Amino acid sequence: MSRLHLLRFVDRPSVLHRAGARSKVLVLIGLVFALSFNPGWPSVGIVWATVVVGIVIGRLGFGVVPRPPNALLLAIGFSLVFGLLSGGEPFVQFGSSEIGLGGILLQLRLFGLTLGLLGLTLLMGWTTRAADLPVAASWIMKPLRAVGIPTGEVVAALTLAVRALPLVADEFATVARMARSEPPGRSPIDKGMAVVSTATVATVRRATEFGQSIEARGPIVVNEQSPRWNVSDAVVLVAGMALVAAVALAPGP
Amino acid sequence: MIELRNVGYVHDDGTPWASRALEGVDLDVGAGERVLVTGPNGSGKSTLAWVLAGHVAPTEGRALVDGKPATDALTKTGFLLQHTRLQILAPTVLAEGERYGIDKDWFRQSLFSLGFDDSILPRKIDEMSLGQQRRVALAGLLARSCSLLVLDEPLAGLDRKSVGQLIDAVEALPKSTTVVTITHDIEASARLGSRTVSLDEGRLVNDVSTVASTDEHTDADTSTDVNGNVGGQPS
Repeated sequence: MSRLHLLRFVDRPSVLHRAGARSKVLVLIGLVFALSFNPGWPSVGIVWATVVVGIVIGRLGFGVVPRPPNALLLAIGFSLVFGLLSGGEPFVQFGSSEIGLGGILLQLRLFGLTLGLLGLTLLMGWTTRAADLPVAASWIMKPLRAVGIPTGEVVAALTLAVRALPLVADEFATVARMARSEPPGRSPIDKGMAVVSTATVATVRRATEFGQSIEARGPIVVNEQSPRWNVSDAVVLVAGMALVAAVALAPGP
Repeated sequence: MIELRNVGYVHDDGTPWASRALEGVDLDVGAGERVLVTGPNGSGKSTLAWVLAGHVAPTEGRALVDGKPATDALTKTGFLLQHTRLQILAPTVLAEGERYGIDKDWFRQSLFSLGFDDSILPRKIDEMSLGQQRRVALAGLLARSCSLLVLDEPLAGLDRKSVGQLIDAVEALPKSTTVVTITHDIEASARLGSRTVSLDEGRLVNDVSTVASTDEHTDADTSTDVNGNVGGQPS
């Protein structure tokens, strides 16, 4: 299993890779929109199935699936305990007492949905070159220019974010590793605060360097010439529409 | 002190992004030895530093420090990063010393040995130059009395004065302290090591003692390649 990396491309010959970034982003937006109206268990199942089928069709291999960070597992564990304590329907008989599973089921559905959406985002990152995303964003946001939204700036910010993300993620990992070499005694909260503040300083420094290089080299120009639609785009869009419809029509929560 | 046996490291092992950084590295470093590790970009120098410092476990082979896995020796190993700011997890110099629970006077002594005076203690880390940050981090490591120091490109980006101060401080360490310095600039780092180990494409390709000898060997005749050939000549 890998570490969690967003927007990490895996070069493979597949229909998902041949499809343009804008098709995949459109499908992702459609699914998020449909899920926000119908976040039931069947919808969660559809999202997870999409991720699994996407990994197979994209010839990615299940080695791409990241190992969840321990902190996330811990947070989920705590949350499930509180969910169990909150009770609610349905109830099950456990010996002489009755336990309400409503809270924990709600939590599980929430995590299922969140991780499923994360999986969809990762799937897009595995099958899309990061450099193609700003071009896709520029195309998708074109209509917003008519209402005066500065899409050029938004796309430039997105471009920078995409470039900086892997560097910043690496620096976060380094800071966390260095914190582990501290002798015991310091409270975990203090240590956590120190890691976050140092990582923030590193991020700000990175942003400053980017700013200086932009000042020296001129503004970021995003190529707005989107690639032509191709057969793979059509396949992804048709499959995406079917998925959005399935989520929208699935039984509700 | 350090014992590497057939050490290999593959980044993101078992994933589509797997890339080999180290392969079949065998290395012994005795207590108190000063070793330079050099090689071209991408040769695995920094990965080796992380393995030696115990922050990363090798994916193949064994990395031992004093007979224990290097990952279990974090408290006796000091690691100076090239991007030093990422290891100073405190807002001020004084707080950095306190973070390790170091005695304040002891920390001050270390700072003095690196050319600082008391006025540095309340200074904010982010108002300091890279050279000053690196010397503060090194002072923390010195004050912790680590028996093994791993320095990753310690001279990179420093001005001449800072380079001199940093080298002087390392030279002044107790003779029992083992120091492994990762560097791409052998000439500038020459005083930091009496033995130079070269890596290329993740493999150890050369191991040269550069000490002006107290026994009867010269630089050339103590050089061995990975096949054990002495003086660079096939045996």
